[in-house]
Amino acid sequence: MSVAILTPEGFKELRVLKEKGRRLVGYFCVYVPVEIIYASGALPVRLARADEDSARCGEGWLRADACPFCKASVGRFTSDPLYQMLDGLVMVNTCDMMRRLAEVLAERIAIPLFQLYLPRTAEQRANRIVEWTEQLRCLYRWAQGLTGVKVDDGGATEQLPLLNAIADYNRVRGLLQQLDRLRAMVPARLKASEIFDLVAQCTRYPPEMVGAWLKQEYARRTGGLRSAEGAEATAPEPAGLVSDSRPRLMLAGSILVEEDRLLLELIEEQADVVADAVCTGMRWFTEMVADGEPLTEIARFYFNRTPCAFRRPNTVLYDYLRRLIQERQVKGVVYKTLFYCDPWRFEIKRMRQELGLPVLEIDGDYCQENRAQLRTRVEAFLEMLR
Amino acid sequence: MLSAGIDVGSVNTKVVIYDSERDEMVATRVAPTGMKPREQAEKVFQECCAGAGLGAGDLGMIVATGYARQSAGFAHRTVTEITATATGIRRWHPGCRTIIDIGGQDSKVILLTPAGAVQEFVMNDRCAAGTGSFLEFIARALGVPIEKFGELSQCSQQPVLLSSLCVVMAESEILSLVAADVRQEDIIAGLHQALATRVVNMARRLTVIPDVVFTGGTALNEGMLVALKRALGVEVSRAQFPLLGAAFGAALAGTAV
Repeated sequence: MSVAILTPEGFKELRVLKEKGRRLVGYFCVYVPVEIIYASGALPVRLARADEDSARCGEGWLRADACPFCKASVGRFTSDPLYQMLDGLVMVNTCDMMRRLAEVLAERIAIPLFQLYLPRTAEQRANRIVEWTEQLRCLYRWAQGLTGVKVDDGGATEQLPLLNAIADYNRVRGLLQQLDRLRAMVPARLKASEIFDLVAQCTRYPPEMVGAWLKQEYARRTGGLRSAEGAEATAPEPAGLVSDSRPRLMLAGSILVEEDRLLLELIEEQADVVADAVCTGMRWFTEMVADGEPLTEIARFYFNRTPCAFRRPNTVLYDYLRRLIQERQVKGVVYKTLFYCDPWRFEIKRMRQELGLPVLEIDGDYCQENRAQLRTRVEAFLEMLR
Repeated sequence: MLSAGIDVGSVNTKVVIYDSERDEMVATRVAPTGMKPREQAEKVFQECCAGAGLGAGDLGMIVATGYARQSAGFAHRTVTEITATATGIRRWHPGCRTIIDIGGQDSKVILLTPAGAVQEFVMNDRCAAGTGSFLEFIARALGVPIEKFGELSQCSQQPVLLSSLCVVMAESEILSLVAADVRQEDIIAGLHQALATRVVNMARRLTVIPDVVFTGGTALNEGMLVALKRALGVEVSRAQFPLLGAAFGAALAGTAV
């Protein structure tokens, strides 16, 4: 199960679910509320797959100088069996390129598409949350229409599936948080690439399925000494003595897809990536949905979550980064961006100023031809930190 | 102790043999890398040793650097060209805090701490427009030997402003300038300015601190040095041996162990 790149076996699991009548609903961004899709009876499936061929294919629909992830996402609808298996798609207007992607896909694909409009600024004002909550209510109806689950007019019977979905996904997030602490240990008991693998699993398969996997994984890493869901959730803290031979790094930047694990593996040959601020990594599981009226709490959770660089103000992102740098004794930042990813590219200057740590910038697409240059950059950065 | 540094670059392979007791380079050699870096690295190294009357056994440490550093299989260890360049340039220029290195395949800006360690660096290695290859490509299109670029650009009264820095687009832009009878030296000076602006913009992502030293094969071009000073607005000195910075640094790294 520890292979995140979708294997034929993993693919079969989804096919079996689909044959049993489960609707699969795709989404790209962490701002799409999975709980709502899940509560409707459908399975939310994160679409974070990209390679050179699919990006080239997407150029005909977006532009050559568009975000490689968005280009590849268009291309995947013609080449990737996973994308072709979807019954619906939920999009959210996060960065500009995501909006363009939604417009292109609306023309190009036959499955129903639901578009969410996340308020542009993250400042909490009552009317923004109310409006956003209303949209989520519409999403719930839309998803129920897709699954054919009977629409109930409010009340407890409608809330129950939402409450269950919150509990299920919170449990998955909690398990991931525990596993994640293992990578900050000295020596690390889990690699960053494995965390990204696990997040990929958790955003593709149903929570009831991944929960057991995560517990097994935790037991395996800790020698079965602690139960992952034990009453005292006291995962080991990073030790005070940090070895200089393996620099402790943090990864930040644009979305990292399954195929990007080559980069992580290259870094991990000589260093530990003890924290990250990537939406397919820690940012997916770093917070929990709070108790309360479910739809409102889900709305608040997605509105307030540690933001992507496109949001303003994004002080919460910097608070998050600074906290991790301190707690996990981070010595340097690997800043990986996609070509033309304006939100993260434009953030670099501020990132350098605010964090006060050495930053290695890596700007790229899904072309694998520059492996040697990439290696030089990473090695030089590590030589510098030692 | 004698140590050797081998910099297997995209255009040239450079070898420096260094005597740490006398603190001097006892032999150097520069030859084109060509399409077979593995054979060429070994060959240039052997030639350098033979020229100095040395055998491989006389060398305490052999350190390889450069983009094809892995192909120098006979080296005892490798170091990246960033660390090597910083080490080498700093030894020649003890006051240096910023290194601008424009090589054949990439360009980089390295910021040094007051003590001379690498503090930060930025690199361009995905686009020929910020590299020496850009000038070579245009030199071929113009039919002017690249060695003449420095001298010719000094004669320019009115450098052209190039709108495109993409190598392919710049070529067609330059051909239309040629067709419009624009003076060759003005075109070449314009090219230098365009390349300098590009590299300086990259440097501005960091904080440029004097002394600034310009190294890499492109630093041999006087016109580039002038353009770089103008674009940066501060004094820039040329490295003592622009081709040998990384190889020298690698040789120094070999004595540090």
